[in-house]
Amino acid sequence: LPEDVNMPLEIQADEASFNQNTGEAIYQGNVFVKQGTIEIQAEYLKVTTNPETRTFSQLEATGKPAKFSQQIDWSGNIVISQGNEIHYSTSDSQLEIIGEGYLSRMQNSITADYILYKIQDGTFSAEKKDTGRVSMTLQPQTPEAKK
Amino acid sequence: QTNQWDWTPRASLSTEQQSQLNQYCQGAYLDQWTSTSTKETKLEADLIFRDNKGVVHLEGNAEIIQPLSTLSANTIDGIPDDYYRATGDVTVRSKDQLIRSTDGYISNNSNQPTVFNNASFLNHSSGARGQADLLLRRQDGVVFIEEGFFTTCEPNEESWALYGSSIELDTNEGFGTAKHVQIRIADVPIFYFPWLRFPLDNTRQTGFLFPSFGYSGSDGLSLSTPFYWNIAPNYDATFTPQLIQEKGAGMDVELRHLGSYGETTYEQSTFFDDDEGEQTLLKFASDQTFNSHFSAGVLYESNPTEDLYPEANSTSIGEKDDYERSVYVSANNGNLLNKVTYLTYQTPDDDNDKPFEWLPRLDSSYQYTQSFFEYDIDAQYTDFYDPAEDDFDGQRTVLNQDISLDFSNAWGSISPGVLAQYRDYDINSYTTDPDSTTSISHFSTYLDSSVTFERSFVHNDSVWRQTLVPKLSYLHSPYENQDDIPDFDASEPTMTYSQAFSHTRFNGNDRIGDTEQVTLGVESRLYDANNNEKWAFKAGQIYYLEDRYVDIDDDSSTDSPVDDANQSDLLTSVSYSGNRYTLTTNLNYNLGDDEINLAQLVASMEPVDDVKVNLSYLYSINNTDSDDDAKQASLGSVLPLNQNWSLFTQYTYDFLLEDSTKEIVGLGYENCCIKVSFSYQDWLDDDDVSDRGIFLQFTLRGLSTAGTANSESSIADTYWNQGNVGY
Amino acid sequence: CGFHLRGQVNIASQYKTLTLTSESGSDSFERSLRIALTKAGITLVDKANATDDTLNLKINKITTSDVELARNASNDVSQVQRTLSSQYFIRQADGKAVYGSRTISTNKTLTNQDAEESAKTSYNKAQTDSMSEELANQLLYDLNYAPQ
Repeated sequence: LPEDVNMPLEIQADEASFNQNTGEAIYQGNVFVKQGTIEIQAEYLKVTTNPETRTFSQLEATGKPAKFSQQIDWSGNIVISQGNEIHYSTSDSQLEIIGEGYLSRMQNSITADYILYKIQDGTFSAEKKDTGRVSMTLQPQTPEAKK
Repeated sequence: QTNQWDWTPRASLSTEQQSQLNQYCQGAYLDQWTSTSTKETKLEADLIFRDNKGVVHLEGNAEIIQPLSTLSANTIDGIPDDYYRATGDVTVRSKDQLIRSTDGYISNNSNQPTVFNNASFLNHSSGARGQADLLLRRQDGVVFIEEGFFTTCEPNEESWALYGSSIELDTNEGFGTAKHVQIRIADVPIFYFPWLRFPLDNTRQTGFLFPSFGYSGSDGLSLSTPFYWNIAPNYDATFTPQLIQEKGAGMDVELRHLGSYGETTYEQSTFFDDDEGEQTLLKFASDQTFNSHFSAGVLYESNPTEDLYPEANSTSIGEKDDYERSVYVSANNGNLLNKVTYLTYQTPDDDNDKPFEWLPRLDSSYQYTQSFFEYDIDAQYTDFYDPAEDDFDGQRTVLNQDISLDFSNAWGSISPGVLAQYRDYDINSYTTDPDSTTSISHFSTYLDSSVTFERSFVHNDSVWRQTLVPKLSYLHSPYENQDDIPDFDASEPTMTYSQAFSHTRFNGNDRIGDTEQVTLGVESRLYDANNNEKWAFKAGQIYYLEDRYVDIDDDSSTDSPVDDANQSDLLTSVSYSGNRYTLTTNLNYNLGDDEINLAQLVASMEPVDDVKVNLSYLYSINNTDSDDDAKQASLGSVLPLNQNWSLFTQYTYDFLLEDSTKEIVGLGYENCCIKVSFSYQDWLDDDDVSDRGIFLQFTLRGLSTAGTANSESSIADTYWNQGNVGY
Repeated sequence: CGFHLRGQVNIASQYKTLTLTSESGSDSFERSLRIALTKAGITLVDKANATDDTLNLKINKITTSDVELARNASNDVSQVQRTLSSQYFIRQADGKAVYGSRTISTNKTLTNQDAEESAKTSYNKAQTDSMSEELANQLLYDLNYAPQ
């Protein structure tokens, strides 16, 4: 949700280190992050915060797999994603999943080597890299939605 | 090219699949469709992206796998559950159906049809396939083919195709309609129709059945285009317009109604001949069985245009001497059968004498059996009427009672009996002779006996059974003068082995043949391992102890016997029934004059698959009525020339006329999707006029049967086999 | 040469009680069949009081086919060989066939086919009725040899 950014940020990790001038914090070892409806699990997490606004603008997570989920509207629809590497940027509200990517949104799910998902306008693009296939599964329309 | 149709040649089919293939098909369409168990829709591609208008794009052998169908193409874009647009090598698969095209628009909502451009389509189970510039499929399943063709032929041979500017296939109704239709046989355009409606499957569908086409030297081109109208599940009609170039035009109508008690049909054939004008024949028939006790029926045949018969007639009522009008009601109760029949005729041609009519006839018969006692009684009252009113008619009452005792055990039987025949006549004369009444009461005594021997024997290593049954019968029917008894329906049977043991010398109820005779016979039958009768050999002879004096036509007197031979011919009969061969023969050999008086043979042979030979032969001389002398033979054969072509011929020859009465030669072609029979026939028709004609019949399998058939049954019917596979 | 008097042949016990479903279409066949069945000691029960394992004798419609033997001087058919045939089988209550289907047939030469129409009609009816009675006896004779 948009106001997640100004919710309290809770991070757990085995190790953590913070670089004052670049504003980058690095956490390693079963990292778990929770901020509002955002939840992240990963092996390695790099959080970049915007020095002026002191809010985090970008995060990169890797893991086997790294997981990211967020509630995207008031009716409780959430986006769940996982992959070898996940990049989330709040400024352009965009989620990038690289390597055995999986994204599910309102029960429709996609698997692909690379998935780019623009949360705000709901568009996405998924590509295979070498041998894989992009596969998307749609639940049957609830009957009344049909003709 | 053929594998784009899921076509699998016969060799690479499983044996089970091969067994379902008819002998003329070279392969089958294997449905590659596998239904997914889940209800989800799966999208797969090399790249999938969704733009901000919510349109999903799939690129790189894109596939959309839905529960009921699969769509694949180079690229697909669309809004799931609304529409998909596919381009590049598009394939749509669903149960029993395959569509391939260059590009297509598949709509899931109701107002937009699914459209494919230069598409080819296939229905696996019926083998119906085709191609079209534009293939359109509405939500309700109706398929439209624009500028395309439709066939049921296998990909590697195009025997026929139905080309149309717009063809509509409605599989739920089961029929198709087509505009500007051209039927091409072996790629040669044969028929053109501005509009055609045809059944898609074998359910009874309203529509034009295929036209039939004939040609004869004298009549020129003849064409009939039957239209079938399925009015209701149990009520249908067939209208067949007829056209003969040199004669005129006409229409045949056949109405059928299937009620809960029975079937009623009305047929009429009317032809407007350029010279003779209207020629009409009609027939109404209905047989109803109300319950196990009561049934009734009516038959009304008529030739309103007296003695003028339709030139073209596809109905079951043809040209004959007498047209029957009859009504019957039968009431049965256990072993008591009763029937009342009212029978009259129309005889259009005045030179033909009019048959007796029954106004009415009552039949009652009862059989009673109690351990070794058997009693049969047949009572019959007939009020004969002679429409010509130039000779005689009257009422006849007949009472035949047969009382017999049957002492029998496993191996023998002795059955003495008495046959009491009582006749009473009330004759009404139209000539100078006075009306009269007469009656006759007659008793015959008989004794039938037989002994049954049996043995089993090994025949090509299975156990067969043979019976040997000597039979001895004695019959005494004393002479009674019957000169004053009229002849309504008496006739003399041909003397054969089976007639030798009959207790009556004449057929019908007007003559009681006098005789005292002993009949000796021996019968032997061979039964195969599961007790099917294969061979039957019979031989017998009658030894007369008295001369015979009663005859049908002229008066009889005790000093001029009508037959004083003291023994009959040696009567023999041989029959065989197998699945490839059947044979029945009768042969009467006169020992005294050392000559054959009767030889009858009917044989059908299929020595090897698809080779059929039918033979019938009759030789019968020295009959009391020389008109019955005959020497005729008929030989028909169907020979396969190769995998698809067959030659059929028939030759019927009358040795006494020294002329052939029927000659047929025909060629047949059959493959998986077409059967064609083309024959030249030359035959003697009912009023001794020789007629000849060319007959072409073809059936486009999957559509419907068509073609002119010759009403005279012949070997052509054996080959044609109503258009079914093989013959 | 191995012939001996025919031994006693009796109908398999399971066929001693039957229900009858006949679509023969011939009254005289049905009557002769009932008489022949009683003579062979078979009791017919109607479906109402048949038990589950009472077998059913099913007879198909009798079909008639003629082969033209001869035509007279004016080319009218005068003699035909008429064949009457039908199939019967014995089935369980659930419809499964236990014996058969067995084909029964009989043929006879019919002369007189060019006689006066009403005489020919009554002649053909008499001959066909007697052939139907022969067909009923054939059915019983065949049933006699059904395996126990």
